[in-house]
Amino acid sequence: MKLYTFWPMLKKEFREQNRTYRLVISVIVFLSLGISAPIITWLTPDLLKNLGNGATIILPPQTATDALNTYLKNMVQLPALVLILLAMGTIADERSRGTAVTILTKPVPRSIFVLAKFLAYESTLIISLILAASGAYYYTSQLFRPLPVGSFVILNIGLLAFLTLSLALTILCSALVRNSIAAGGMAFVGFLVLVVVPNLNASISRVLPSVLFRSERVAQLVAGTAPLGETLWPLLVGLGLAGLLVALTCLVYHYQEI
Amino acid sequence: MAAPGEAIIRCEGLRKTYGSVEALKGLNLTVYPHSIFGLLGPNGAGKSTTIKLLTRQIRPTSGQAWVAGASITSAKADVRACIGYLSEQPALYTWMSGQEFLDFTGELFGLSASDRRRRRDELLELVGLTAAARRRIGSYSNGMRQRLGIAQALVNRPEVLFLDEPVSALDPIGRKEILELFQRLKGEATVFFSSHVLADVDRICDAVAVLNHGELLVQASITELKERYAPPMISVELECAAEDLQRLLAREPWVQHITVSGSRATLLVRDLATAKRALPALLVNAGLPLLRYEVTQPTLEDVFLRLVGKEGNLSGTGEEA
Repeated sequence: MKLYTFWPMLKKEFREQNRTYRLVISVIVFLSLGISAPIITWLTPDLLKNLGNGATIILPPQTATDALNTYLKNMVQLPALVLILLAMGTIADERSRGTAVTILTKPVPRSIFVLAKFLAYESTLIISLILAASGAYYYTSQLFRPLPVGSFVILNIGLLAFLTLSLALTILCSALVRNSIAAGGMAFVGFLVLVVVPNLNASISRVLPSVLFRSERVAQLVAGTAPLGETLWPLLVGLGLAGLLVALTCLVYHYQEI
Repeated sequence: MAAPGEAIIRCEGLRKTYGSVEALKGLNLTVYPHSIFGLLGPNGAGKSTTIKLLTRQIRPTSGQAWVAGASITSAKADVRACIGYLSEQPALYTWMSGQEFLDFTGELFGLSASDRRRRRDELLELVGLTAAARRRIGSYSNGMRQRLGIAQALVNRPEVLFLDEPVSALDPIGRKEILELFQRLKGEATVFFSSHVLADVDRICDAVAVLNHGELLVQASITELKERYAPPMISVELECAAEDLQRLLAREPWVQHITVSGSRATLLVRDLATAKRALPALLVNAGLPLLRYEVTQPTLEDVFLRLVGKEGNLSGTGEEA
């Protein structure tokens, strides 16, 4: 196993993300969503008053927890789709353009080829999420009150687990087919399943990261009353499933003819 | 690494199937070190499949092959460390510069930073891309990409260089330069390439293999191949119609085949020495006025067409083609 090839491959992936503006796009989308969540929550009463056309809309006073719920709703939808769009061609395009052949006829193990890609996208995700979370936390503190740091960090780890799962699924789909559009379509269907299935089965929903983003669980976390086990399991299951999907991608790609 | 005198590439019953399609039917092939070896065949003959198998892009259905002493199916001894490869359409990262790409390739072979820099500059000079080294590959012409592709295949000083149609995108001057480069490389590497440009193969290859429908038709040195499969030809032009000549030569044992067109005739001969002696005498005796007489050396194209063309079957210098 030529492990020394991992570092050059990872560096290449970082440079590619930077030069092809993937990192910038991801940061802009995440940061906008992170910052906009508390601002929109803050402005909601005024917006509704202006849209009311004379009708009186009674809205409870907006709180930091409302801003947090808006942030979480924002972050599980568009960012996952952006990740699918950014990563859907990562393996499929290299196969169809022939660059995979150029690299894999050198002593680069296929698992390293896959892992470097996953870790580079995961890094982009982490950087974008840290910036989005920082923006959301800052504006929530300024407009409402500071959120409990521990709960906010746990919820962001939950977001990371959920988005990592979407990313791992997209990279698996990209390894399965040569066409990036087809890979994106498959990953989108997979993402829908990931979002819908937990709502159909209570025992599954309890262990998936999306359970953490439900309003009642968020309230428990903010109040510091959420049971530790029910918080940790979804995080571990989410990250574990993502790890399994990456391992499956390595296995699939190992036996594929390029 | 292959021991002295040992084959650098050896295939034994190498077979590849895709469903019910047999792309390669039990290939047996031997290539010796420091030679330039050409793989010929029409489209779909199995040339690319052979190169893909030998460079570990695909796995054989059955059979075995060794490159530089390492099995192509072995996980331990990775043949990829001692080969260079360039596909027909060089696929390079267009967002990198030429210099960066060679540096990256050097890293994949575990070269140190100073070795990489030295090798990169050497290769850029060798393929004439020093001036464009810092430009993005996306802005390169097809010919420049092809030359950079060749450079990246040489980064690790490979024992075997596999090239799939390496000069197809180059202009005549670029092609000449690259073919000369292959000849220079002969001292340090074995060059194994597929090509449709038979004149190039004829010019630089020591030996060739001809594939058709996944089967090896023949493997031999170019000289041997021409002797065996393309007998010499004599072209004759008369002042009168050449039909009389056809009748005259029909029963001569040294004539294998005669083609007549107006006053011109082309003779495929079995025994050139006898033909050179007998033909002028026959023409004089028959009173046929001669305008032109020429002995033509066969080209690789003649051999190729004879092997895989309309004539199809391998008939050597035997019966009429």
